[in-house]
Amino acid sequence: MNSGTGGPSTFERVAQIARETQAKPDTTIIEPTHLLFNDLAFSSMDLLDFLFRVEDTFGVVIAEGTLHRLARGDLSEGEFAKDGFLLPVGRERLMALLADTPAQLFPAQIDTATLPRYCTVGAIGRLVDHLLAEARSACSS
Amino acid sequence: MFELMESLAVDAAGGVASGRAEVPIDHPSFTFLADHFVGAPVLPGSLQIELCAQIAGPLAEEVTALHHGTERWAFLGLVRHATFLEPAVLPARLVISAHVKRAEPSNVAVTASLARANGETLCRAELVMALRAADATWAEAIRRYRERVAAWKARGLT
Repeated sequence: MNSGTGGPSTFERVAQIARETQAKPDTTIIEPTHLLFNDLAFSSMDLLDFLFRVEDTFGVVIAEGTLHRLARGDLSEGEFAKDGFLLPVGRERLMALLADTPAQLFPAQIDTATLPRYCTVGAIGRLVDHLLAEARSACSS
Repeated sequence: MFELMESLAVDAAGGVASGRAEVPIDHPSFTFLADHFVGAPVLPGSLQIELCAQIAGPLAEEVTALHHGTERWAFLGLVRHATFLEPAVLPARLVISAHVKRAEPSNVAVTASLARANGETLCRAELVMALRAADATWAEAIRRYRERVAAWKARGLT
């Protein structure tokens, strides 16, 4: 999404945060389809640092379990996951939410604690836009 | 750095902890302090952060046990911000304070400060303590850690 003011888009800002997280030069090319872990070689600590920076920049809260909540949607927890692993319908929901992540990267058994590992940079941008829209909706209701 | 800690008090329900540390110039485990700097020794900033982490760790572990019912062990994962306001001239009696900014199942963000006993703040920092489940190889380290923390807490009550 573009800011509408001619400024950088959400994705461009998220990409810049990803560069800063890893202390990469501003000239480093980051595409929306780049996977945080596979393409940018994020560690779990990079991810934590990155999400804190995203929160600070956009004024959103990305609580642990946000992806879980969004992928689950209207399913009950029992329909979505069992014993810490996504059920087949839960896996489908996650793959639909992260449609720009290559399907072959999703293993048959997905640990619910690992969902952010399947995110692209573009998915984080979409997540930010979604959380901003949620916040606006909450303010106006 | 745990050799320098004297006492600890943790209030998990309130999300706060405090502790005291004594840093001499000639501690046998930290002989380099006398040379940093010769004639005017100060506690390096990295060690000030480490002292803050010594109380942020038990705080994060107890808050996690309270809110999530899980036994996890804290490691300093991120130093998000650190400001060093004054040189920590040695020898020093130091007071460390911490409060939980945010607690998640896998990490706890803590705001910590280090001050002289007279109240002058030396350092402020935001630390993120990463939480891990233990594996069997940690048993001896955990036993010693528990003994250490229990001793600090006992002195914190006196």
